[in-house]
Amino acid sequence: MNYSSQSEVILSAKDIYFDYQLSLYQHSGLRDSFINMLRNPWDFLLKKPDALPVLRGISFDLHKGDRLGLLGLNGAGKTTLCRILSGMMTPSTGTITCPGNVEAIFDVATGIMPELTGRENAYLLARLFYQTRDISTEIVEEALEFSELSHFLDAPFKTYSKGMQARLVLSLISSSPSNVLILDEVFDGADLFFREKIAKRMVKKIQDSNAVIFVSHGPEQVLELCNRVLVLKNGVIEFDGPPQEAIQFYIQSGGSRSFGNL
Amino acid sequence: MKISELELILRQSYAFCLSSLKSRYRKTFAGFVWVLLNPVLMFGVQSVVFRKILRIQVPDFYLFLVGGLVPWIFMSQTISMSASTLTSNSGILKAFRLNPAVLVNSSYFDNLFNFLIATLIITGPIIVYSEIGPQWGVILAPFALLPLIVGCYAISSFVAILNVFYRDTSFVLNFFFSLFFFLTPIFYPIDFVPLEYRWFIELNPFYHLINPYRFALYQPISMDLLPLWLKAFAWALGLSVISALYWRKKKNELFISI
Repeated sequence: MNYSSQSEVILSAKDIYFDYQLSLYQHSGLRDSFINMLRNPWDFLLKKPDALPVLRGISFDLHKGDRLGLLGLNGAGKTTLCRILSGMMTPSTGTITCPGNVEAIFDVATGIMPELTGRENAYLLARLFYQTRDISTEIVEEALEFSELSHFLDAPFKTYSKGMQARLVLSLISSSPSNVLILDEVFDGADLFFREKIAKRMVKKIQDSNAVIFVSHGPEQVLELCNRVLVLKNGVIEFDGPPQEAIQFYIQSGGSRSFGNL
Repeated sequence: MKISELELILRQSYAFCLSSLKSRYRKTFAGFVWVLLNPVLMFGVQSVVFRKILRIQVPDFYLFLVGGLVPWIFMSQTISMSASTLTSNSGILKAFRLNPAVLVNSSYFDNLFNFLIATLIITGPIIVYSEIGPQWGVILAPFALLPLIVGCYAISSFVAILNVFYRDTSFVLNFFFSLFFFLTPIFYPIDFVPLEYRWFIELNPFYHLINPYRFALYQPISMDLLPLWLKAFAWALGLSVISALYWRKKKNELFISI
């Protein structure tokens, strides 16, 4: 089933395939490899590792105004797809076309320099996360104020709890609209009080951005934030349509476990 | 304004490196003192052992030693530290889009900055008080360092990504450097090596990368530096090509294994 709006295409994915080499899961060391090479030199040199297909022929267009939710069980390929769309990884075959920037966040409890203060980390993160855009001091300071971390902002980042780290990062990444924004289960790290506050701010950021891709295990967030949902299963798009129907489809196809009591 | 990928990497590397330096030297001089103390102690101990105890007969031995030892310490420390650069920052790499080269560059520039400071502070007085006194060749030292800087960067970036797939790379490197300290003419000149074993030294990239710098410090200014420099630069380019090809092959798989 396919669903698309008629507005301008912001990002286009065409026939995306991605395979993992199974050998990459085995963290063997140089010493192990050396012994293996001596034991079976021909296998070492000539044997190709088995490949695990993760994405199989993903194609869709992201239009201006799309708030695209991604649903799928663990291992369905959601994060891999988001990483490919953001430019972190390149697909085995297929093409991604996106003339503008893609900004993506996959974990909000990450300190860049634990020894530096929260404020210093925020300025560094602004330069790294927003890539080519110059984010003004006013925008960063506004984000810091929004985080309500007040005097903790000048304490080392390593002293922050996971919730405080999430507050800082979420405040910053929601401070300026994007061309394409990818959010991968980012609300899960924040504490309950802040989650409601940041959700309102994020809704504004999402509305101001050209297009958003949103990965979540929470149906309420998908219904609130998205106007279109893709359901992924075993690396294939099984459903592309409005959120309510997508959630029903997902539950019927065995995805209800990740939603809890719906 | 659309900027190129290279410009973006350089900008981000600069920002990351500045923060890294600030983090290291925050509130205390301990980090900075250690940067100087490490080569000073190594130099002091080796001067005594090789000159006074083993009685190695090399003219102006202290100048000879400092010309090889300080770059060796820079290379061995930088390459060893680079091995864990990507794995120890896996959280950042997984959190948002950041070219992994930014982390490698930042760590490298941080070490290079320390090396240049240590070189000025330690090597300067030894040149001034050496038996032969300051030579005009010293002014060529920055030029002579260029292949070493390029070659060391190539090896550092190579081991950084190698360690993502082979987590015992740091262990192997420590073993490797403890062997190669004796197999590289650092505290002895190549003339001490019997002719039948010289081929081994010729295959040692560390020797070639250090050689022009030591020549600039230790020898009177002459055109003999040029062939050494060209040979060193050829090694640096070769190492860069190998490193770049490995990065290109493995960069995509990095996010799976890290």
